[in-house]
Amino acid sequence: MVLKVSKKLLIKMTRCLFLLILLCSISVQASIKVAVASNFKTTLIEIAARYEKQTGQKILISSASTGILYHQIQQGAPFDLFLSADRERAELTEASDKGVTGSRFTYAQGQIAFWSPQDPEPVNADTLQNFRGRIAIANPKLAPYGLAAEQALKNLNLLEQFSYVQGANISQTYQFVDSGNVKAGFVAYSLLLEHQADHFFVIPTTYYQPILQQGVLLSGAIQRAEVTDFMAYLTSTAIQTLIRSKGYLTIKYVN
Amino acid sequence: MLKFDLKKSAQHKPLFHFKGEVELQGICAVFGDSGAGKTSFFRVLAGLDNSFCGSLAWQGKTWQDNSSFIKTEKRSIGMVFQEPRLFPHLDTLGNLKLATKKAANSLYSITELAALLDFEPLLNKKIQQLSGGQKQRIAIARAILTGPDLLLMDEPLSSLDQHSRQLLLPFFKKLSEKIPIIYITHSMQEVFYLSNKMILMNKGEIESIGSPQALFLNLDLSLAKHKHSGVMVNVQAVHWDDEFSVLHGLIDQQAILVAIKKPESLQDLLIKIESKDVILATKKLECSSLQNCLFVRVEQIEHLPTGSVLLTLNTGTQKILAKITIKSLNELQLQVSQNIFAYIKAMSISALDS
Amino acid sequence: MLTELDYSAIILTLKLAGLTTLILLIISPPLAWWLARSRLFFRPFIEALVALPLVLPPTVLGFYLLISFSPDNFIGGFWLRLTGDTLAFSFQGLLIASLIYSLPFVVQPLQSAFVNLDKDYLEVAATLGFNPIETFYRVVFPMMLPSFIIAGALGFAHTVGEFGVVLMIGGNIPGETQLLSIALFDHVETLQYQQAHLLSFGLLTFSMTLLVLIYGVLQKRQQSIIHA
Repeated sequence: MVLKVSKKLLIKMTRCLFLLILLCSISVQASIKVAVASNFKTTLIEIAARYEKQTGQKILISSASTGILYHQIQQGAPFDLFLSADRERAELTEASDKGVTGSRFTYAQGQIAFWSPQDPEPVNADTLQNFRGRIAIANPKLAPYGLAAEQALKNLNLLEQFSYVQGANISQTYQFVDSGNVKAGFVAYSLLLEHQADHFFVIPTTYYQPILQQGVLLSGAIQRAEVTDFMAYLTSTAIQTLIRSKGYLTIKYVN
Repeated sequence: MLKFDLKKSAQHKPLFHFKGEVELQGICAVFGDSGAGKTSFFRVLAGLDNSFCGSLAWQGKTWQDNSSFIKTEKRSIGMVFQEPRLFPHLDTLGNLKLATKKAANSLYSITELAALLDFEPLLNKKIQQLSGGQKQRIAIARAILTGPDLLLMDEPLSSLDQHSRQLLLPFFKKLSEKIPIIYITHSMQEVFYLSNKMILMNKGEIESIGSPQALFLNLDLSLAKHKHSGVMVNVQAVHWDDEFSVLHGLIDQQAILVAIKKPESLQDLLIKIESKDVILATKKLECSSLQNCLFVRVEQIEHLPTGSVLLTLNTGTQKILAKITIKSLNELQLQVSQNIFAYIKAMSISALDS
Repeated sequence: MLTELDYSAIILTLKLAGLTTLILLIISPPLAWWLARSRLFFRPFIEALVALPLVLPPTVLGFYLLISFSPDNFIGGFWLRLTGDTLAFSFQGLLIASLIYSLPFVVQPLQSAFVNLDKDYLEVAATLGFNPIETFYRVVFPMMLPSFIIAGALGFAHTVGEFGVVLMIGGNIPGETQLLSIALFDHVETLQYQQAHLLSFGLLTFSMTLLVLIYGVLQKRQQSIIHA
């Protein structure tokens, strides 16, 4: 008796569960799933909100480090669009069977700044020249902002002047300095603006290779037209102005 | 001299009160019912239980009073628990060696004890491979190896085989000539065989301290129910009769036959005379199979609640008990101070041989 | 193949795990003993505190450590005045983090061993003339040796595998804070799969061997002693 009842119950529960999953997948199917590098997440949320208001199209945002997202996509993660923090991973994705050839585009160009929050004096090029000791940078091997910092330091002949603490990504590097464990560091200008920080000096872009944050359409995308629309929206003048206000440079060309 | 006045209460009711003093020489037995407090008494003596208040002193040294408490490890006592409690990660030898680590001077070496207690072949065995009796013998050896000033033994023989008992009883007696032993037991035979002094415990208190003979015959004590079954009597051995396989002996110069196994040497022995096996007569009986006849004087007559009567009979220096019906008492018209004959079947006498 | 940096990361990891294990094996037994025996009302709070790293994401611990290591705060400031160096991004900082992070892995096997330890044996030890300290090293330690080895091995293995916290407070300095797990992460992130495979497989084999040893040999041995 008991067994029979529980069996019935089990069947009912299984049905409910199926229904639930079905419902979920229906609602998910209607939205665009974007995998975005962590540093661009807050900006993308704002853009997505605007887009949804204008078009009714839902954007589902997943964020992680570019490296992790890249691996996930290579392993078949069901994203429609990949917004990488660099150019390399976007290129690799485009070249693989997971990306759509020819769909790669630059959506933002990052800037780095030297940040020394505890400095009593205004921070400028001289501050950097005269700074001694340990500074925080993002790991140049992992993070494009770290690579840019390294290039800038090399071009300024300052690479040997400091010892380094490396963050795995640019937000961690920001934390190192923000928590007071390191006096100064090279961080993303966008992060400084986001947190309304001061005592920083934006490094002129001539000192490092452009940090191109590129996106690529993924071959798994079902509603390709909708995703392409959103990609176009990202590079539209209105949105580029918004992006620029967040501490990025305006894109002059798309390659 | 062991002097103690120790109390423990729970919710304002006294649980235990141990008060008394005893000169320790040889083996002092602690006797009493289960739950009388024997083991609790041991634990407080050993310092394993610090929840008692009061005072405790041994040989003039204070072990416990209101302001001080000497810990177990400083009391120089050897302890044999009811269970062997050998350390399971060591073999026999390892267990014994551990006991010598803090021993100042031990009476015996490990090898000597192994020979005396018959565990030489077990020295390199794992504890898990030993039988209960073997473990207990090793636990006893361990307690002795600590070179104690006082040995506490809590029913060390209760779970042992006959072989181990026969080995250990004489050994304890010999050992007690050098180290005083306090010995908890349930066995009347062990009490009479081993000890010259006994602490009687009843309901959490020390009821009496004295010689086992005196305590067992004292009708006012809680031992009454043990006494109903009989008492232990000393028999002086005279000669062994090979033809009939009986021992001829004397109780207060009166002849007695005891049916026992042939002893290796002729020595005095303890026998237990059950009170229900004693037949009383006012005249000598003729034409009966009864072999043992003792001429005794009635010392005390006690009416038992069960409707029977318990008589204490004096053989001269020792006493025996007889349990008869009121009907018999009335028909024989027995009275205190009367001299009568007490008959005991030779077969009903059990001896505690050693 | 493995680079010089990889080897230095391996050596550094072994050094950190070894030191962590050693220190934990000194401080954990009294703590585990207290946890196993105490009836005080605040014992569960201490127990929970010790166990926290088991359930918290390493990021939480890393985050709080990063904050407390800051020279602006008490611990970091004290360390800076004492040594002239910051605690974050140093080997000492990692050591402190590892001690906290691996503590439950060492304390818990010991605690459960002490809970299972029959009080009778301690009484026997006292009658053999051993004071509590002698009882500990003459009886408890040899009797519970398999549990001590388990505790040490788990602490060691866990420190070797530590990642989240190190990522947050390490700063990836070669020879100082660049540990095996971080080197591994770098290789994976930079798509150097061959090195990643080598290091991963090494770590996997090491951990697997250790765990099989713990569950297959040591735990059985301890059980047979406890239930003798």
